[in-house]
Amino acid sequence: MDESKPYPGPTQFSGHYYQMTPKHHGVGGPSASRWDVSPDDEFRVFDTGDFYRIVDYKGKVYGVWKVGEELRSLGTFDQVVAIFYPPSPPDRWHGHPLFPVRSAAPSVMKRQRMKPSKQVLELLEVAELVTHVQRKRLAKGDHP
Amino acid sequence: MNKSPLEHGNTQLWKTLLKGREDLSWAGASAGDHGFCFGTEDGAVLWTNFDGVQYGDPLPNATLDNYDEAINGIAFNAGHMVATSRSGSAIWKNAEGKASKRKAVRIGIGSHGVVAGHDGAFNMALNVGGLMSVHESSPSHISTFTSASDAMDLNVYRTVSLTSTAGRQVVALAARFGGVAMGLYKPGDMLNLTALELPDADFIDICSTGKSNFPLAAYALTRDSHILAFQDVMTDRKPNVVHYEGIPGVAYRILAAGDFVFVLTSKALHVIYKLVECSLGYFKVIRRTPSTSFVLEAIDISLVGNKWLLVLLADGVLRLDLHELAKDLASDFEDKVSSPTDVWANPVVKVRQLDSHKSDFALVK
Repeated sequence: MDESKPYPGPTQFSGHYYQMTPKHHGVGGPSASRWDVSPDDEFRVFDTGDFYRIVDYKGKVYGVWKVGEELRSLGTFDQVVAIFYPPSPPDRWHGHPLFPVRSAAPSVMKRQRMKPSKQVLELLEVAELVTHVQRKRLAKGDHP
Repeated sequence: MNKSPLEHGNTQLWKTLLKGREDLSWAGASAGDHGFCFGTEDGAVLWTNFDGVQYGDPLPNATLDNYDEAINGIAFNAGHMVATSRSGSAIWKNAEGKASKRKAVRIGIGSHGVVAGHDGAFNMALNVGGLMSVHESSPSHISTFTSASDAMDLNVYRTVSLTSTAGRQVVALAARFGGVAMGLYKPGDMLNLTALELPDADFIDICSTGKSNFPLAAYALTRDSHILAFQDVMTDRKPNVVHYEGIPGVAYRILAAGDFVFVLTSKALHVIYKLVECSLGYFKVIRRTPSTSFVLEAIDISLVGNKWLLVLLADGVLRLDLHELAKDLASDFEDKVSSPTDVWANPVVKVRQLDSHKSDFALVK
């Protein structure tokens, strides 16, 4: 599948359509957060976040990939939480790995200092996408 | 592996404190030697005696950041307390006293914990923001300096302060995927760091070994539970690397007190007894040593002197008595002896000097 093309299907819950943007698949250069999972898995993280309504007050969706009891790394800088942005019509949703960011990340990404809010972490726990202990550790800035 | 201490109830070894409290995010020592201190998920700080009986007035919004973020670090030094969360931090005077006597200065910067440094300083791990030191420069000013990470290229995750026998102050830090870094330290001066990297190693913690005859000795821990034992962080460029196969889960913390080394993972607390043998000029990793594990799912651990280990659970705190633990490990000694799967005495490490720059600013009280 060409990563620059729209993902074929909508999300199960909201019917959102998704675009895998070249920026977050290597074209954006070193300053852009980059996915390190397959296109299907990238969409699955979005679909799961939308299904469980992991949404902040600005309408952004958040997702993780839980494998057993552990959270899988989603991005090239070991991010375990991804963020997805609502589009301006007729565009589609897009997203990228968000949090936390390891040392080798470019300075542009470091300066963004983006992190999911306390409320988003609580939604992830309620949906059982993270365990209680993982949520409490993420809320402190610890690795899960 | 031992059963969870929760199944045994309170014993000589374990005692449950603040049972049912689901809002705790940090546990550790209070100022002086008269009890414990706790941080909560909504940013408050409270105090108890050694039996977990709360006293004094809780301190709400201890980081003064208005975001109600979880407290992730508290440290005391020279009459001050610093409390940190991932979105803010503040320095307090008389934090433990009556509310009307408390004074605070908002530092404002979020951090991944804080430790008491030397000369009254506090050292804060700012992740990709570098390392920040905070100290009282005059009765009316709090000075801070930051070694910025853009130049250092490190994600500063944990830090520890060490003091040599000659009185030299050393800061050492664990950096995610960036190795272990160390340097001579003086508040206000440039911090020149040297980093040791192991290929693909993700360092998540570092601590003093607690050996008074090797004051610059330290243990560093990787996320997959490899322990690096440094005889002297400033000179040792070939630390022993130790790995125990029977440590499951993702490693979270390493702490050492007396002859104990504690490794907390996502699945258990592991205790290694006499991992290193120290005598005059002699520092050696022991290959057969007693160890024990307790099944528990904890958020964090913290040492209080050489007497207690606090284990922060999702709904309370366990207090482990280290004196009782030593007695427990001494019985049936041979049954508890285990060996690490691997000990690398000569690991391949990459050494690099880090360029750092500092920025100073003062906070007026």
